[in-house]
Amino acid sequence: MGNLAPIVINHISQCPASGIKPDWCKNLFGRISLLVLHQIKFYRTYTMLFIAISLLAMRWTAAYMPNYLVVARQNNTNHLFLETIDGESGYVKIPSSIEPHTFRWPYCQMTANNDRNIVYSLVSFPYLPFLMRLGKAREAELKLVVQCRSSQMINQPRFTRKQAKHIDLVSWIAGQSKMTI
Amino acid sequence: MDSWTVEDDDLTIFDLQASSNKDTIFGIKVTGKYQRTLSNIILEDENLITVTELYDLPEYWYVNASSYNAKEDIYYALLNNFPGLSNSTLEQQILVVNFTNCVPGLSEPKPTASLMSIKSKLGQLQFITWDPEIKVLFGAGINLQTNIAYLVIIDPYTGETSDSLVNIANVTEVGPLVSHSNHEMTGIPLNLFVKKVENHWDLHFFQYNTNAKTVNVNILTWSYVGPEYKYFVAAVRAFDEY
Repeated sequence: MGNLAPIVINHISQCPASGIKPDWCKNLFGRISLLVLHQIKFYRTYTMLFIAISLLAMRWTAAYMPNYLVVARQNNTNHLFLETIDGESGYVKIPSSIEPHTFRWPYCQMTANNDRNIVYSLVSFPYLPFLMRLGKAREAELKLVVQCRSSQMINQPRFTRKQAKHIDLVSWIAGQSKMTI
Repeated sequence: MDSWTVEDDDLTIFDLQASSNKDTIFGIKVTGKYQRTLSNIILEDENLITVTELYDLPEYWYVNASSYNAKEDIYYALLNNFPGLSNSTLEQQILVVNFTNCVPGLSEPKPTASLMSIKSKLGQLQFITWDPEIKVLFGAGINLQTNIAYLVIIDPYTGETSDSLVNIANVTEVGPLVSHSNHEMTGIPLNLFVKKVENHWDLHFFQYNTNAKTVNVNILTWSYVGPEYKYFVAAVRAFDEY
């Protein structure tokens, strides 16, 4: 196939354009050959198109695989909010996901055990550190988020709290201590 | 939601890193005014956190940022010198601690550790993140004279840093840096938060090209503006199997 490609181009371009048709072009065999070669070119074009579309689809699929960040942000009243942000669309998935458990003057640091789907969030502020465990994301609900992302989120950057339920705060540990930094 | 209180007035811990292999947590315990100790932290039950001290950091140094190689159980800590003392310095160190042989809850065997001075050409680093697939430690910092944020690669065993892979102008603070090598296609995705002005943060999405060893700059940037966005203080990648 690879060796035929330049021949195909030469024959098709030379035969009609030359004005003087060579012998091979006049006989039936030549015409059939030309037809076959034309078909090869025709299908080659579609094959190339198919490959290009496939590559684009693979790239699109890769770009739209879930890529979540669990983030901690602080607002102007010094409350802390833990949220999930889509790392490739920037959309906030769970605004104020633990809104009832906001903290003033927070220090926050997080780590994830992705084999167990747990995010640990160490939250502390003067004289009160908390160790919270953000719980397992349920598969069905997480799929819903992906679906929402592609179909609904373009003009809807924020979800309501009712929609944002695919992550659970299953437990938290609170302790009292004095910060030395 | 369950909740409980730990009755330990002396417990102060920072910079936790979860180990999937050992199903435990490693982190820093404050063991003195200027002393920090890398420890194993176990959430035993509703009322108990067990802390096992494993490795003392050099005195007068604290962990400014940390990251974890969950595949090989290696803890990376960016160390800063305590400020405000007569001999305080702006130097930084990179601590690499291997917990492979450690057993949760036991003080022996001890982890192995290496400590190197960071030889940064650009200034102090603020955040680090380890990428497990390409085994690269990235760091982000800011030059406060030029207000340019930068991204570098740190060799954790020599302390050498690369030239800046990315420069972001008009930045006043650098926020969390996270890598996401779960779906490498054209490069390793990186997310970096930067603060532009008060109540305006940008989240940048870069891709690190592992072949060219360069970063595709500003592939996407999202802005978070308003009184709800004073700081992005922490970020972690989560739930990668979906």
